[in-house]
Amino acid sequence: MLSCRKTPDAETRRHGDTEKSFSPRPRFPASRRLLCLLLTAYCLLLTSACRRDMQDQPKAKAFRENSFFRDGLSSRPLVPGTVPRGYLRADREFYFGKKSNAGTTAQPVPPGAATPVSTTGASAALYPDDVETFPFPITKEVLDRGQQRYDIFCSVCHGATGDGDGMIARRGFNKPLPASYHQDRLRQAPVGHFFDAMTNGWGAMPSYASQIPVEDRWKIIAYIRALQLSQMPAAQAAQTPSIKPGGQGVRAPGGKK
Amino acid sequence: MPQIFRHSTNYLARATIYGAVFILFAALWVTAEITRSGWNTGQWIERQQPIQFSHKHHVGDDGIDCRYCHTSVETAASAGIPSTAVCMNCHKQIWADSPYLEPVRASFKTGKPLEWIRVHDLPDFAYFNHAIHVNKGVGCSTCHGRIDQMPVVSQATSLQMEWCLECHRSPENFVRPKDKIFDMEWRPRNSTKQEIAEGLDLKKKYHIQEPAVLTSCSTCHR
Ligand code: HEC
Ligand code: HEC
Ligand code: HEC
Ligand code: HEC
Ligand code: HEC
Ligand code: HEC
Repeated sequence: MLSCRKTPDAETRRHGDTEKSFSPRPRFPASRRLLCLLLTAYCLLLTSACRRDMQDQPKAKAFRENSFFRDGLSSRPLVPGTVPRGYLRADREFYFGKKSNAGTTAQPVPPGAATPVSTTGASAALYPDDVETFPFPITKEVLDRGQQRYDIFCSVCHGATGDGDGMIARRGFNKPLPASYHQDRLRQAPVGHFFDAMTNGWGAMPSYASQIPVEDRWKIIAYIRALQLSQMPAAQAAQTPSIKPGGQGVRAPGGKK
Repeated sequence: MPQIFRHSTNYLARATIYGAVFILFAALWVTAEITRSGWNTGQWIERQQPIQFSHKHHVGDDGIDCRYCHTSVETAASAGIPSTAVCMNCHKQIWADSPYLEPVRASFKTGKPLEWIRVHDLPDFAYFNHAIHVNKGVGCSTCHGRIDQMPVVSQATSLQMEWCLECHRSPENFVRPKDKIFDMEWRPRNSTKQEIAEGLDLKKKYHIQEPAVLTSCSTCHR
């Protein structure tokens, strides 16, 4: 059917066909040419499912393997001794939660903002290096963000209310159990200690430095403070110097949860 | 020579000419359906991973948030695949001796990354970005389906251009409130007038651009 033959000659002409003289015609009648064209187009359509070079370009994309480097990774590690733009960690208090050496104190709080909230407690002495104040004022937005991040990263082990009974703890992460935030030692601990636990890990607790940006870590701590306050006996809450309801810059958690 | 075909065959011949047009369109339609089918798009095809990682266990049963592992989904083009260290956060203790997790422990020890098999894979000439979608009210389940019920991840949508455009032409039918982005059960309901109005409200609230912008070629082919 596809083979394109010459037009039929007189012998094969059938009953009903009229005699005509033929002017020279192209070898392929137009209808056949059209058919051939359409069939070719159709075959080409079928190839549209094939992968082509533009589909898988040899460029580096996130998480893609790369045969150019020996370790096969296209995401490159830092060159030793370099600091990426925006990653200068000069502010010791903000980035490490550790007290900066006297004299070189950087003041992260912008002028005019509420004074940082002091969270010094009795057990601050246990953690002499850790900072006792938040690097920025605590507002409702900060607490909301803190709550969201806490629920993502911490609640799986420490539980939604911070009792240390999260789902993962119940499934077997219990050597030792995740700490409850509602114990005196942690109520009194300076904020820098929480920052330390998140950044460097603490005992069985893993480090979250790679998963949580620095600013979010501080916001999580603010929320943990609110959680602690919500579970404190009223008398003790009133005494705690750190986070009085309605105190400097810190909102009472009562209205939140 | 006796006639092989009777005279009425002429009608058949004529019908076949029109039939050819019909067959042509049928063939085009079949091709389109094949192109749209899972055979071509990879939809619903489960890919065996080097580790039998189950979203059903981790998300459905244990309630771990997507962002615990896919950390960059709100801030970057790529959602991010968790590093071995993230698995070890929990698997230092949970199932610490399980043979299923041997590759994870080996990777943790040697520093050689795990090699997951890609499930969703757009061609490199199309640009996609998670952050804009997640921040403008498009939830994971709209595009990825019920991940929390998948023991093995498969592609729940075709990821073809027509699928992207279906939403870019009328995002108000798909957007959801901010606090429902990670909700796996949320479904768009556009049946009543009020629900349609809610969609339009959200579209305004998120400042979603006009379809003319969202469907222009250079939005996705840049
Ligand atoms: C994988 C489970 C797990 C997750 C997730 C987790 N923790 Fe922990 N955490 C623990 C365990 C276990 C301990 C007890 C460690 C020990 O005593 O050895 C602990 C202890 C702590 C302590 C107490 C340290 C001390 O002085 O005793 C703090 C503070 C803490 N975690 C904060 C956090 C914060 C903040 C997050 C969220 C970013 C978080 N944790 C997420 C398991 C976890
Ligand atoms: C415990 C960590 C973890 C959590 C929590 C998690 N994922 Fe994943 N996800 C992974 C890993 C590891 C992979 C790669 C292996 C695979 O494809 O199964 C993956 C793969 C995927 C993929 C397929 C990626 C590809 O190759 O195309 C999608 C889509 C996905 N996850 C969506 C989600 C969504 C949505 C949630 C939240 C409901 C979620 N994940 C929660 C670890 C996690
Ligand atoms: C937040 C904690 C957590 C993280 C992070 C985590 N897992 Fe798990 N994983 C669990 C728990 C809990 C179980 C047990 C599930 C159950 O029995 O419901 C489990 C079970 C498993 C199992 C075995 C399931 C079975 O049925 O035998 C594998 C394999 C596994 N995880 C792989 C991974 C991989 C790979 C990663 C890293 C991408 C990872 N997990 C990250 C908590 C976690
Ligand atoms: C608008 C649709 C859409 C939404 C919403 C969406 N994704 Fe995706 N996702 C995609 C597409 C398309 C790809 C494939 C990207 C590629 O191949 O470059 C993908 C890929 C992924 C991957 C593989 C890694 C990567 O980034 O390439 C993961 C993991 C993932 N998505 C998780 C999520 C999670 C978690 C959410 C919810 C917060 C989410 N996605 C929301 C469309 C979407
Ligand atoms: C369910 C709805 C939905 C689907 C499906 C969807 N998108 Fe989008 N997309 C949106 C919305 C909403 C925006 C935000 C538009 C805005 O900011 O004005 C957006 C924005 C974008 C942008 C950024 C536009 C800009 O202004 O730069 C790109 C790129 C994009 N989408 C690509 C894709 C691709 C590629 C696919 C298919 C793989 C896809 N989208 C599928 C809803 C969707
Ligand atoms: C919303 C995002 C989006 C917009 C807008 C868009 N495209 Fe695409 N386009 C895609 C995606 C995603 C694919 C890959 C589909 C696939 O994997 O089959 C694609 C594929 C293609 C292909 C290749 C088809 C194939 O089968 O290989 C062509 C050609 C194309 N687009 C042309 C256009 C033109 C022309 C426009 C403007 C009128 C346009 N696109 C606008 C997302 C988009």
